[in-house]
Amino acid sequence: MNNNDTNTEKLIRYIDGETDTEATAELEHELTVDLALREELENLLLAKDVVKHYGLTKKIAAIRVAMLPGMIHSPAKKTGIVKLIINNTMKIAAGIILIAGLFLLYQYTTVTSGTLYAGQYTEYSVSTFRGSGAVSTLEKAYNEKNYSQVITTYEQLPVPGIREIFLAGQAFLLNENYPAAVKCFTTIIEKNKVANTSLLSEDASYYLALTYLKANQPTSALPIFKQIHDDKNHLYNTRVSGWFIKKLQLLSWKS
Amino acid sequence: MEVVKNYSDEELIAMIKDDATTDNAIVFLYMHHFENLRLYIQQNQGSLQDAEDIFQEVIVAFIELVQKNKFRGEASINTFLYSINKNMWLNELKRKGRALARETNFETGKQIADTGVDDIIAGREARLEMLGIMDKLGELCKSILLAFYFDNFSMKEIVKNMNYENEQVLRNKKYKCMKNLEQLLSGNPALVKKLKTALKYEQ
Repeated sequence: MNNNDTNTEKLIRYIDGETDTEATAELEHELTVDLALREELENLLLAKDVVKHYGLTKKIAAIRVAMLPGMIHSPAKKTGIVKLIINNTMKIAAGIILIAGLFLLYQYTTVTSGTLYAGQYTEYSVSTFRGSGAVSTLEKAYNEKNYSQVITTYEQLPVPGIREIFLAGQAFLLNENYPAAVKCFTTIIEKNKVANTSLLSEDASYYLALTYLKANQPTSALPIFKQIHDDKNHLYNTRVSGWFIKKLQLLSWKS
Repeated sequence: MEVVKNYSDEELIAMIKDDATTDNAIVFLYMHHFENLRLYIQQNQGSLQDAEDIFQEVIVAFIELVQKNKFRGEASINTFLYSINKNMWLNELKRKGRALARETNFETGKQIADTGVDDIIAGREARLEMLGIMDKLGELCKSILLAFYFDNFSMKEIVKNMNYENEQVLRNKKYKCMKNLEQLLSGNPALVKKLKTALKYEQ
C-alpha cells in the first residue's frame, strides 16, 4: 500500500468515525497544512453524500412504485355533495388500506433476524466477582469480554454451576456458536425445573429466544418470546413488546 | 402506525429528520401532495409519467434539504413543494425546448421567499448526473456502500448479510469501492464543483 493509499484509508476511517482521539487530532492538523489531503477528504465526503443521495432516490422510487398505481385519479368532475363525501370516504378508506398494505409489505421485506436481534439484544453484565479460582477466572474473563477464555475455562470446570453455564451460554452466543449456547440455556431451564428453583431461569429463557433469533430460527424463538410477552411478571416482559412479536411473526412467515 | 394522520408541517419535518419515520413521511407526502402536483404538470403539457418523475425528484430534493437543516420554513410545505414542482417542470420544458407560452421564464415575480427552491433547481442537473456515477460503480460496490452509508448497517452486520469471510475482507472491499467512487468524481472536476453546490443546497 503506497503513501497515497495510506492517506485515503486514514481519511475513510476518519469519515467513518473510526479513528481514535490521537489519530483524529493528528489528521486534523495534517489537513490544515496539506491542501491535497484536504481536497481528497472533501471528495470522499462528497462520495459519501452521493451514496446517500443515490440511496434516498432508490428508496423513494421503490415507494413510488408501490404507491402510485393505486393513487392515480381521473380529472375531477363536478359532483353532488353526497358523491363528494362518498368519494372522499372511499379515498380515505383506500388510503388506509393502501398504507396498511404498504407498511406490511415494507415490514415484510425489511424485517430480518439480524435487525430484530440488534434491536432486542442487551449485553448481560456481571457486576461483581465471587469467590476465587476457576469460577472467578470465568467471570473475570466475561467482564473483560474475553469470550473465548470464558468458554475455555467453562469447559475445564468439572461441575459447572448455573451461573457458570449461563455465562458460558452468553459467551457461545457472542462467539456465534449457537448450538452450544442453546444447550447451555436449555440446561439451565431444565435444571431449574428438576430442582423446582428459578435461578437465572427467566434470563436463560430470554437469551435462549435471542439465540434462536440470532441463529435465524424465528419459528423457535417466537413461542418463547410470546410466553415472555404474555407473562406480566416475567423479568424481561417489558422488553418484549407486542409490536416486536408481530414483527417476529412476519419473520416466521417469511422463513 | 399513524401515517394516515394529517401531520402538521412541524411534525412532518420532525419525521423526515428521524430515520425511523422517514418512510412514513415519504408515504404521507405522496398521499397528500402528489395529486395536486400531478395536475399542474398534466395541465401544462406533461404526461402522467412526467408528473411521477418530477414528483420523485421533488421529494428527494425536499427531504435532503430538510435533513441538512436547510429548509427554513418560510413557506408552508405545500407551497414549497408546489413551487419546486412548478419550477422543476418549467426547467424540464426549457431543457426540451418546449417552454410554455405564458411562462417563458420561471415565475420570478411570484417566487416564494424560501430560496431553497432556487438551489434545488440549480443543482438538478448535477443530481441527475450523480445517479449515473453510482451506476458506474457496479452492483457489489453499490450494495456495500449503500448498506454502510445509507442504511447505517455495521460492518459486522454487512459481513453476515453479504456472506463475507470476515470483517477485514469486507473492509478492504469497501475501501476499494470508496476509492473508486472518489476517483470517478475527482476525474470530473466540473461535476465535483456542481455536486458540491447541489448536495449542500447552497450557492
